[in-house]
Amino acid sequence: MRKDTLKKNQHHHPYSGNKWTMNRDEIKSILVGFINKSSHIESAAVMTRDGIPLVSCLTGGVDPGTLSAVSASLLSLANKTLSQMTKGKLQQVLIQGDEGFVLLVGVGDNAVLSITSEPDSKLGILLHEAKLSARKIASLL
Amino acid sequence: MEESQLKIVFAGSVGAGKTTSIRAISDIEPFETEEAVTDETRHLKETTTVAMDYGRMNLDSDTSVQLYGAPGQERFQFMWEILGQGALGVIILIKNNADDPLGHLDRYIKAFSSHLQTRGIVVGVTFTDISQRPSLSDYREFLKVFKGTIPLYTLDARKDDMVRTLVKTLLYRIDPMLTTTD
Repeated sequence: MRKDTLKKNQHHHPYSGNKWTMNRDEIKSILVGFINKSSHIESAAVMTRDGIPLVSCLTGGVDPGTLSAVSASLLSLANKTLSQMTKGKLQQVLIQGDEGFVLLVGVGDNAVLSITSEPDSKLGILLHEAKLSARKIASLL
Repeated sequence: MEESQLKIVFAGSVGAGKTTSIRAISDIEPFETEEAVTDETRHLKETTTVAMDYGRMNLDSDTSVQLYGAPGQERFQFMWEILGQGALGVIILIKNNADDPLGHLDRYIKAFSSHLQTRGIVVGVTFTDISQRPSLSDYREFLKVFKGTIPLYTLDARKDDMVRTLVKTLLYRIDPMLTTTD
């Protein structure tokens, strides 16, 4: 009986329970603060490294599940590409499109922060702010 | 003579042994994208493929097979499409001790027959030592609609000779000339 309970706890979802609800709210307010700070930033979301959505502030029509999966794939591929090419540790993944940027930064060892911004964004500031937010979020995961 | 490269994809259930299969037969150090599992499959294994595996198996002196491994979870379906491009065929691995293995098989066959130009599909069933059901005849019954075009094997993904047999069967189905030098 006790063994069963133990086993169950061990398999308990890492992102559930009261503490996580509190942390999730705090992460949400970090993301909202981050988006509000700059008029160029459109959306921000945090997901696990295996592509499960944790907290999202997305614009309409973007599915958090799909975004989380593609972000996890990209970050992992980018990481492995760097080690394949002996270029050290990953700083960020920056994708530029006609209509703006997608930026991915690692959040601790377990999660990813994905951000979208407008085409005329100041990249240096964006990267700096993203890393500050990622550090804050990492302490809550 | 120009070296020719063939591309095949390993797809199928989470934890069926796709990464393990490629590791077993690759002649180069495989490229893997393993990350810690946090989803509902976390009691099954610690890490999971989130983008792709890549390995290469030499068939003979001037032919090699590029081995791509797809993530099993359906949320990574976009990778199935990407990896399916230009592939000659797919090896679908089904974990027999998962929930609803035949349902898995149905979904993977449907997904990959729409992505692939060819109908080259081989099915490998793993963990038959842990779960005997569904039986091989259940699988055969299920595959009947394909009129014998999809070969079926049981497999231990750690055994390179077994994995190699599946690869060669797939290549033979695509083009018998590919495996004549064996």
